Amino acid sequence: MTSENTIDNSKYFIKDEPYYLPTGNEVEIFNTALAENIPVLLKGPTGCGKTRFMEYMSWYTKRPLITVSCHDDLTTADLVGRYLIQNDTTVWQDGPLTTAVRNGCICYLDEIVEARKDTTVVIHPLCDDRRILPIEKLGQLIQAPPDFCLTMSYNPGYQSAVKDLKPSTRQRFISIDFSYPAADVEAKIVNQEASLDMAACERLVKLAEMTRNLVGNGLDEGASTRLLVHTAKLINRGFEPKMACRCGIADVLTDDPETVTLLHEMIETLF
Amino acid sequence: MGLFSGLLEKFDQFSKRSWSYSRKSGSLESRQTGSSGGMSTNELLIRLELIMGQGSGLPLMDYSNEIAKLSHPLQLFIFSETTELSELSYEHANEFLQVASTALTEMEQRQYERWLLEIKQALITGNDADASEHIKNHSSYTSEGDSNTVYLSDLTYTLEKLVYSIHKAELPLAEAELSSKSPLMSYTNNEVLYLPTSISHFDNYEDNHRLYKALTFQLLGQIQCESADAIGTLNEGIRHHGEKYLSFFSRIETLRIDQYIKHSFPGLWRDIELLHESAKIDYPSDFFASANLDSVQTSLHLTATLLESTVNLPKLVYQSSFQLDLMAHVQKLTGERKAPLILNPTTDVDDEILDTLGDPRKADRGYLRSLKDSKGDSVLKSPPPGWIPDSSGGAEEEQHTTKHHEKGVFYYREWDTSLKKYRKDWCRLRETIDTDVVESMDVENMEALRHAEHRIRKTFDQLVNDQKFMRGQSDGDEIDIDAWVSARSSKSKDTDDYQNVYIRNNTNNRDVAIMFAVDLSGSTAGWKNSMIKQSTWLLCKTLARMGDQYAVYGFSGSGRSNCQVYPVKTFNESYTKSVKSRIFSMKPHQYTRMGVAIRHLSMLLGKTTAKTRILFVLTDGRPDDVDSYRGQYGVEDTRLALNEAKALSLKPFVLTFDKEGMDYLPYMLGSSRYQLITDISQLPIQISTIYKQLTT
Ligand SMILES: Nc1ncnc2c1ncn2[C@@H]1O[C@H](COP(=O)(O)OP(=O)(O)OP(=O)(O)O)[C@@H](O)[C@H]1O
Ligand SMILES: [Mg+2]
Repeated sequence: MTSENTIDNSKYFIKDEPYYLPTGNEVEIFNTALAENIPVLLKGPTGCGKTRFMEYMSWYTKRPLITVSCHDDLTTADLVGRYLIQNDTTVWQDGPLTTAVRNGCICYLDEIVEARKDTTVVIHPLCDDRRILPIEKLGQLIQAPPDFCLTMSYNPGYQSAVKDLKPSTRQRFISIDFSYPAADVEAKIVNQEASLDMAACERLVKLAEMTRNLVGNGLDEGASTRLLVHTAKLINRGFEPKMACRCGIADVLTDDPETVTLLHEMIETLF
Repeated sequence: MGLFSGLLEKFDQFSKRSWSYSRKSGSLESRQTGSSGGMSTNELLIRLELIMGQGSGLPLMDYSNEIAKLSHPLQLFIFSETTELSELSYEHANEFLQVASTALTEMEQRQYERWLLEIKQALITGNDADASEHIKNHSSYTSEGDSNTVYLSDLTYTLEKLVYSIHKAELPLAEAELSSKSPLMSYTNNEVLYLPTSISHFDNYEDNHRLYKALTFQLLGQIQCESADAIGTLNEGIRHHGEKYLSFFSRIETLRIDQYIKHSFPGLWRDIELLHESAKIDYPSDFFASANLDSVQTSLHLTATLLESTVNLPKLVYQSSFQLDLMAHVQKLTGERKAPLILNPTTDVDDEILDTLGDPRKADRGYLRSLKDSKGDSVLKSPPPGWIPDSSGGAEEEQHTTKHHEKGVFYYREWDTSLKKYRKDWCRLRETIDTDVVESMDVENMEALRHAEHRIRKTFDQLVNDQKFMRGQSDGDEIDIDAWVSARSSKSKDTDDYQNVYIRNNTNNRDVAIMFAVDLSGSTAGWKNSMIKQSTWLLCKTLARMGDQYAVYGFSGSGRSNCQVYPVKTFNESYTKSVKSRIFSMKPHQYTRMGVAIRHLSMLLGKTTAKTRILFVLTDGRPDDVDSYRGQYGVEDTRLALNEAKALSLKPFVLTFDKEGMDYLPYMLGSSRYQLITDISQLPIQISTIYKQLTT
């Protein structure tokens, strides 16, 4: 009934170097964690480069990357695998986590707190020095090869306390803090990603900083680097900067008319 | 004080007389009468005679007849204004009385406030003719007549937040004091930006709006460019050269701040250039061409040089004023005194420098700056005693100044049904943990309770066991062998049968969060309170077994600035001894301002991610609070708050002891979202039955 699933690794390899500009010593920390077989937790707001960083590290370490986007219906079976029925018999199908363990990939669980509580428990034995993945239904214990690495991302900002990570989960990880890059670094990133002139990029970053100052004061989150890149692309395509900022930033951040007015006022002030 | 909080305060004062008076931006008199009866003609006459003098030959009786038609608050307004005017000019007070009742009926509150402001301003500056002109032209202050005027109150929210987003600390906007110098007077003490109440300088709305923004950013510029550092040299200069020195400095410093704006806020700069055009100013663009803009010393230096020259700098419309006393206050606050690097030619150089070098306070600067940076406001925000120029509401002001920084304090809007508008940040709510020692956690009538507990358990157990496995699903964690077998053996060979062969384990799918909001108003004292405590305790005990998320909060308070919520059990707490003791320390407090409590608890409940989220309100009567939160007003606000909760996809449910509740509950909640408890001893059982209905 069991089949040793091995994947076509090349599918998961990242061939071209993704553009990633380090904002601190995250690359070194990650490499050390890999070498020491310690799982990594990426903390930070949305759109600040976590996914990009993982792609970059996957390319850098030449290990395949398997990403799982967690949602609130994600069960243990979705991660580990389940029996399916094919042609009147049951067939076991590995879940992404099992695939990653078997093949020594980097497994990236995006937005882990969204997943159901019980799922975090299956990663516990995988995240301590045992490094095993128990597959109950198969009665197997898979020992993770040294190349396997587990990473999760998590946004502490808007998470409710109810959906916080359990200490027993947290304390298995090394944590890398991904907050927004420093202004000059961020401007460089936007400049590189959207090839917009530097002066305009700096202005966009300034606008983003102003929105970030409003967090808790009308906004749940400030404008992310991703939004800046989008907006910069609009401007680059010939859109009027004010217009681009409205579509790319203000209207994206909120629906509350009063806050939208405020964001428009910010744009009017800066551009 | 922030203009808005200023308005709030006015409201507080007036609301004691009649809440219908004080809408945020006022409203027409025709809508304003209603709940408040005015004074009688006789009473009015006596008062008028007191102000204007008896036997003055004025037709005071006629005035009284006219004023009698107005609402009480407007009558009071007329009296206080007449008194003030009569102190400035008896003639004008009389002129005012002639038109007052007509004028006030056709104006909104802020319009007549502006009208009187301009009259008084003209009188203060000695322009009696202008003042008469203003009084006569009252119709130009009505909505039709004043479409060009921009009011600070309309911009406060946006400008304050805009400034906050740049400055990272709150700088509230407030109305500037009336000035004899200029109607555009604006100034700052590094904590509050004082701006004109309204601007009608230009003959179009857009320019006046731009002017507000320019003034605001000039004041922000004063702070960010550290203009106050100039205070020492400024005082020196004024001593030697007179006011001319300050006026030169102001013009030059304004240009320096312009450069800061031009560099940091190009969008605003474009607006300012439009203002230059509209005001026909020949702007000296290359004035600061090569100078070092970083320090106010540059401006001081230029002032000293230009004083002797013939250069004529324009006075810009948006020039803010530099108030020496306020600047000195800033200096004192930051504890620093900087050496004037470029000294006024006439000052004794050596003395100054020696003086500064020996100043031990100078060393503090770094420390204070770092405090300023890290905490943002704690040092700078607490004004020294006796300083605030408008001393009418120090305490209130402080609350508003620090409103977004105080821990455990929240601000909520409230629906004003007569205005048909939300009042922003109207209620100030605090979470207070009741830490009273409980005399006894023993429960009376243990036998009956045990029975109740048993019944609750049974109801809940059914809930849990109801839905362990769901068979025959199209997707699931396990294979439903039975379904498969029956599919295989099915003669029809219907392929659909093979689809639904999974079992879904649904224990965790019972995804419920419930918030119990318990009314702790004074009226629940006595047996109601002990019943509430016991029921809450029983429920918590049983709910703890269910794995449902639940929280218990009490609410009460008195007045809009003192709304209270008492956390008994929060969502991420589990049921412990201390929760139990908090349950038993729930005690009756003051009033029932329900809207704000519902808003706050909805917010907390909204943060949970459960699929079914229930807001369960347990109350003994209708919404009621001091400051007119009762009757229609209270019901309407509560209704809106409950609607907001629904919009957050929460399910509100109200359980009440109030037999008259049926009058307003259907209106407040819509059908089948409320229930009346007639027999309070049935409370726990009733709650559990409702709970079951709501969650399945
Ligand atoms: N340090 C960086 N170097 C290069 N690009 C970056 C960097 N930081 C952010 N970006 C840009 O921001 C965009 C968004 O980043 P990414 O998708 O990695 O965000 P994320 O943190 O994964 O967000 P989410 O939590 O929403 O998934 C990227 O597409 C990239 O253009
Ligand atoms: Mg991502």
